[in-house]
Amino acid sequence: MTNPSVPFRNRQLVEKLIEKIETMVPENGVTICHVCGTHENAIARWGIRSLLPKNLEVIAGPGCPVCICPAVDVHEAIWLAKEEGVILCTFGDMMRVPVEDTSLNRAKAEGADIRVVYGAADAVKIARENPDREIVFLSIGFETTVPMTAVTLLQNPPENYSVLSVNRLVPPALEALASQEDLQLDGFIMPGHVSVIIGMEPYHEFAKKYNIANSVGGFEPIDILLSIINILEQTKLETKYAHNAYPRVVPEEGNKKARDILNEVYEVIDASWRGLGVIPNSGLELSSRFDKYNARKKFNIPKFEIKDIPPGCLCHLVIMGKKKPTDCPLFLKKCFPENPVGPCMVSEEGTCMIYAKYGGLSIDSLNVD
Amino acid sequence: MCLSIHCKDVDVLAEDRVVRNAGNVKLEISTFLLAETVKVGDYLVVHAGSAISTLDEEAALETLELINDFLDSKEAN
Repeated sequence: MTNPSVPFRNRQLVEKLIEKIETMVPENGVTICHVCGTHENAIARWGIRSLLPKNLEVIAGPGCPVCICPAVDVHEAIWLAKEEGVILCTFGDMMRVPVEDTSLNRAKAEGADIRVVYGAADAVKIARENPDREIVFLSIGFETTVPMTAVTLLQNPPENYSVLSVNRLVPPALEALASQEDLQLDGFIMPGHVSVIIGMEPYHEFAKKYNIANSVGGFEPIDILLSIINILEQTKLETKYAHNAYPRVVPEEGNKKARDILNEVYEVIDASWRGLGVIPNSGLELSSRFDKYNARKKFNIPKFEIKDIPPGCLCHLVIMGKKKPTDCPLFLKKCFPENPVGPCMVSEEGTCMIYAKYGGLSIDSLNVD
Repeated sequence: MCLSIHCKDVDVLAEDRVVRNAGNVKLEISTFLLAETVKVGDYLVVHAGSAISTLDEEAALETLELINDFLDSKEAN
């Protein structure tokens, strides 16, 4: 069996689909929002915006968990990492997230024991190998990422392991976006790998509640174009619906086993998103059964008051799709991928980082005859 | 962050662990979250050390057929 995703990169098929899209966009234009950093990365990397008609805009919503991780939580992680005997483990993207005048990287340079891991299971392994140390896993991510952290807690981890949960849920963020009066959106491309876990049901409900077209998209160019085509087709309909353009990976029912595990380990809480404030029912905290593995219960973490967004930075508006990175006065003037000022300039899924890396270049912008 | 890699099983280690070949990198991956048993040759969607789904080849082919139907029907118009 060859990789079933390969045909979804076929150039000739892309060209044919783009031709069709050009005939489908209504005269007054269409704005489509995606909520996935991996989608933004794929759209930029494949140059999809440069292929689309000018009156079809695809904007990036809050889909980068690194970007929306509140500054205060990163600061708590830095405080923990500096505690005697602690090893702080987290994903590589978190290391460079700027928080006021510091970051996890800087704390590591100053002597804190901070280690990059591929997943929570690696942190448990480090805990077993270091029984005289306290291992804290800074857990970020959406529904795609959280289940494996939950699994570690159900598999009898050592007591020197704990989790600092900053995990967030996507559907409440969709509701926050749909409720913004200054955002006129014609449809959403839904995040393919979050959908693997949550399935289609939340999107059916979302379409019903807000009457907004939405289509779950994969990450090959043709996957993304299929979602766009579906949303364009729905512009002609009065009643919008949820569509799955990525059925080779996303089953209608999602991954029930993963959801059951999440429900067993976590409770849903109101939670803050960096620069956006509190979104009701959008966060996951360990339930009381797992208090002994909850870093917030295990350690006496002081209360910090940390500003989410530095002066001049527009990350809070970029995250909501209200501004483009190029609108920000700091973008590639004071804020660079190698020295980020705002959180969106850090991760490969941050909109500013992606704009900086791929430049939004098109044949037109290169002024090629 | 929700980046997943599509990779092919090369060796089943245990009931809930496999070694996956992603390019030239061999990774030990948990299959704990999958309801179905995986076998050598399956393509898995892997995220942060865990398989979260299998790739459904039949669904992929159906989607490609739908695309061709869509293009044909529009061309006929």
